[in-house]
Amino acid sequence: MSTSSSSSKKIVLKSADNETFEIDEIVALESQAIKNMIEDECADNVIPLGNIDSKTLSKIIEYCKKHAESPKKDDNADIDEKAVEDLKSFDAEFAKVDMPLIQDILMAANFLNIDNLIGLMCRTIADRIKGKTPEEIRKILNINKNDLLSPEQEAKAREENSWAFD
Amino acid sequence: MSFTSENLDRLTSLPEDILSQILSLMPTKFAVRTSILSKRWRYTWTLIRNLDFDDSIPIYRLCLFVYRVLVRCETTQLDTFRLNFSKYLIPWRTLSKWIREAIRLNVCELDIQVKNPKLPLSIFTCKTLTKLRLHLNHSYSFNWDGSCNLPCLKTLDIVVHSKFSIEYAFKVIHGCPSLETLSLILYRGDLKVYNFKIPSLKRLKLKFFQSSVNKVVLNVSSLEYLFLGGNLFSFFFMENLSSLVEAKVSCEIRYIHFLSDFLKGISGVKSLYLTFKYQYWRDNPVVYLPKFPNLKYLELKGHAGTALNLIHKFLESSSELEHLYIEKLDGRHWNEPESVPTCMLMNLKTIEYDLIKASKCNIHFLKFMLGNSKVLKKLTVTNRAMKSLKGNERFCARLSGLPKASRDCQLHFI
Repeated sequence: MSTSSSSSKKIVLKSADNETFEIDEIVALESQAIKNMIEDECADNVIPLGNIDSKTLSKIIEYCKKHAESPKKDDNADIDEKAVEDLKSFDAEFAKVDMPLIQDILMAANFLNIDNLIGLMCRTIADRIKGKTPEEIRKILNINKNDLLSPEQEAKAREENSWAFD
Repeated sequence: MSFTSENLDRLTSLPEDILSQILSLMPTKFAVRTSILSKRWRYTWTLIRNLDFDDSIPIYRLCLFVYRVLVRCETTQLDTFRLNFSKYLIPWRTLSKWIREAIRLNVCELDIQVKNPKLPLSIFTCKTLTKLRLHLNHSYSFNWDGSCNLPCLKTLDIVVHSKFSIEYAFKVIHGCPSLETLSLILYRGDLKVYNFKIPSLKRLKLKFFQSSVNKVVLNVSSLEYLFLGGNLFSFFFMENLSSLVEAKVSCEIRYIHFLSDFLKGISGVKSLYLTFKYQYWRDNPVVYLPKFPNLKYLELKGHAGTALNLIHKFLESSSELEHLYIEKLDGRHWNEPESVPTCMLMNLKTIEYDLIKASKCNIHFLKFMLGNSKVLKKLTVTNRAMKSLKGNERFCARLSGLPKASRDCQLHFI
């Protein structure tokens, strides 16, 4: 899938399911990890991302494109406010996906070291579990049943932090 | 290994600091509750970097647990410690202990809103603090002879509720050599002279709610942004304001000479936002405006007497003006001026006009602007007043029919 048309330098990313994404270098630089690879000249023509599937990767590219296009903070203050608003509403829309995908994006963003995206996904998860009961949170996060505390351990944890459960 | 196999507890494979980042984004109470989710989550909360407590829990229970949380917290750097207690006094020794623990955890941001009449002095010598928010309620100044030294503090946000704590506030302000952003809200506390000598300061927000005339001295050579709110009852002395880019004033202005005086002090500004909030001087206030040699953006809102001619005065004083924004200025008269301001001949590119009445004087004003602005690219008119569709159409048609001095000027109606 080709995603850009200008003549600037291109980077090709390859997902776990062998789909390739050609993107502008400036978009790829949103990822600190890729930036380091490029700077250290370790980046070949194609960068394989063996632990990120194409669905997650295309979301991440969508995010990086938008953020690479947006004017950076130190530009004109006038444009600044509008751009910040625009980016905010983009982020809000971007995060409207199901929890498994949010978590996949978070893990991939952590791997690729994209600070803003990590922050956005953390905020989204925090907003979705805040104030929910433990049962609800376990369901939302799909917490492994084998990892649950024993009734005794749970009672102890509750007692230690009883004020938080009022 | 792929991240994305189905039915997986995905977060399990994430590093602790990401989980702690998630937990740091919610009130501490909710973060601590995750301790019973699973084995993986049992102690994750102890790595949270924000602690946020309020009095939604009875104080006697909370006193014990805040301390316990602080003691068990294993983060190497506490980003934020927030106490928001408006109902109860926190026992003095308890408060001191909490602050001591927060300092031990290298706290960066303290946000203290408590009813207590005094605060632990250790706050004011904390070397790791970069941001501090305080509400000052009582007479600190009588029992504080210690000094304030916050070498890393960049952002200070002080709300003064008591007239006795104003000097205390200034002691803190002048004890921060790296201060870049200051917000000072004064509900009570009349001083004769407010002296700001802060060479590092870039952003200043002042909100005064007081009734006696005073003097504000600004010696802030790095200041880029100035906000003034509340009421304008001060004479301003701008000793050094050479870096100013943007000024916003949203004030009750009882006497117009305060405004003239203030504007003279900030005349080097590039963007100016003025909101007039006082209605008493409806008739012909005589505003002496300075020249604004660098002004490119001007916004005028609110009640300003015979406002439309006030706009003309601003245009005459701002030869470089490119963008003009007018919102709900309740002007009732427009006297066709004899001369056309320079900015309209050379620089004015956009006008946004948000009106409350589609009155004749508004149309006459717009006629003057359209007929004389030679480089105007865009006029946007928002008409909230017109209820009927037909009336609105007539209004738009009338404006569209006005002669334009600039050929490629576009008209937009909202």
